[in-house]
Amino acid sequence: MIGPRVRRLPCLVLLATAVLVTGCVGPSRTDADYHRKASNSAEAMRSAVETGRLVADLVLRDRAFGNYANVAATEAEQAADGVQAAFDSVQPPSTAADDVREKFDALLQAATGALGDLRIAVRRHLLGDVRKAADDLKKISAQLEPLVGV
Amino acid sequence: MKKMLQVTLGILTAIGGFVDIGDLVANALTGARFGMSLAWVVLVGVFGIILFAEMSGRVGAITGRPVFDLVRERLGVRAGLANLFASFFINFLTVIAEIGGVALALELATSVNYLLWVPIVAVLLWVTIWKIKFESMERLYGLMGLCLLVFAVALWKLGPDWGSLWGDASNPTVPRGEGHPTWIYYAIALFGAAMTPYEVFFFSSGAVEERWTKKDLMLNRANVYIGFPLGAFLSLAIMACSASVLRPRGISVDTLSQVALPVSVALGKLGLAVVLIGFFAATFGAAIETLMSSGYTVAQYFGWQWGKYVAPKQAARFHVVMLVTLLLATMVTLTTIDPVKVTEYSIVLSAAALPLTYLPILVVANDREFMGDKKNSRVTNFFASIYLVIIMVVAVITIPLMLATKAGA
Repeated sequence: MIGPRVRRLPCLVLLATAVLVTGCVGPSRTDADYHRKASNSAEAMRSAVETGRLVADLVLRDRAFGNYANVAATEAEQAADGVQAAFDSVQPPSTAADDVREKFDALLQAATGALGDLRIAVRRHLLGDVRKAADDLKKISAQLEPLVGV
Repeated sequence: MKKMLQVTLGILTAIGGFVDIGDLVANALTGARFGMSLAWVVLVGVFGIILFAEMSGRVGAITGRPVFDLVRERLGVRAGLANLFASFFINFLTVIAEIGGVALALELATSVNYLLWVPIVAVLLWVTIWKIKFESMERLYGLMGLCLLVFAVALWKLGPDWGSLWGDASNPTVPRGEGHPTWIYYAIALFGAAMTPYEVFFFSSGAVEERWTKKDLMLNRANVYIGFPLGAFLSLAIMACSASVLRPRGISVDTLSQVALPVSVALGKLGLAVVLIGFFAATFGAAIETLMSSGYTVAQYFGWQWGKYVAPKQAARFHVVMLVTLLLATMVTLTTIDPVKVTEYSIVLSAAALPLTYLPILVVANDREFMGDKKNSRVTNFFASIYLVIIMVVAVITIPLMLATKAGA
């Protein structure tokens, strides 16, 4: 007889898989771990920012349809929102980590804001504003660069 | 001349039909993250699918019966049921991913949220399956899928550093900053995308639908030996485009819009229009194939009348299975679940379930009672055995790797 315990095993394995796989951002116990999470967030944010820059470049050179550019810019902004929300949900483990949080969060907010500006400009087809958003994103990308892979 | 045209059409269909949402996402994602260092997996995967698709097409042509039907008869009810559960579950995930993929392609073209497209896509799918003949359906979306060749044109236009791409591909190493487990995890994702089980079920059932006989074995081989490698060429072009445009910028692929970016960079609006048609055709064609595969597997297991070669009234249960699958998949897609994430999980989980599909095919293709003198040759069995070992290893390590890498995060 196999017994109910063994029969329950696949369910437990499935549950554990779901919990582990979906638990993308966990708590940070040390400063080093917090820095690593900040670095991962910087990498993800740079991806969204660079996507936004590429979309802006395509719009400025008239190489993409408005509908497509709108969707791509919106998705880049949503990705940035997700990165920021995930980082903000991590509990800083010390007061030293609070400083990191404050500075880094400001950069993440600037990135999300610039991507929002890009989305608005793309939807209204205001090329001057698209250029400005692209310039802002370029600066933010340069600021994120040193934080990636630290 | 007519035969020649049929062979050419079959090959073109196989190329266009090779790529689905799983291939689009997996190739673009790995190209952006790992460059061409995982290109070898596409080659390993395509050789495997060639091996087993040829077998299943041959089984269909010789016996006039599809693989799933014979699996139950040859391996018994229990083994057949395990096969059915695994295949149906993976198939179901793929249907969700493909429906989401069609809706996302339409969103890119219209800027109307993909969720609003989902019910319309579901209706279109049902009408297509209900009204259009099997052969016309296969050809239409297969040929439209050829639009994805625009990735190859875009790559040529981008003028990348060919030496660097070749160096990456021919000397595969884990890129700096990436761990071995993550690299292997994505290798499995690519392998799973290339060897998706629905492809063989659809191929063998298609052979019966099109009433292939011994005389059509040449057509079977042409489709598989020429069409599939050219389809793999398409996959590599997608990967190389991502490696050339997205990787240097540190862009990771999370959306379908990012997959199209390199084409837009290289070819502008015209290229973008072609690639969007390609996205639509590839995902819509694959949605039809996966839906029909769901009907095929269930109906063939229970011994019901199946197929489009008979009137829907005569194969009512087959059509009901497809309709219920479509409705459920549509409902799941409408929960706002991310179709790209579903795609990523479906290809990895399909890799974990591969032995349940490919081992029975090998057994049936070796059965002299069914196949007569057209059973597998020694060379085929030699390579198939190697693949079974690979498939077993992949199946064992997939889930632990998924946990260890947090699904490749």
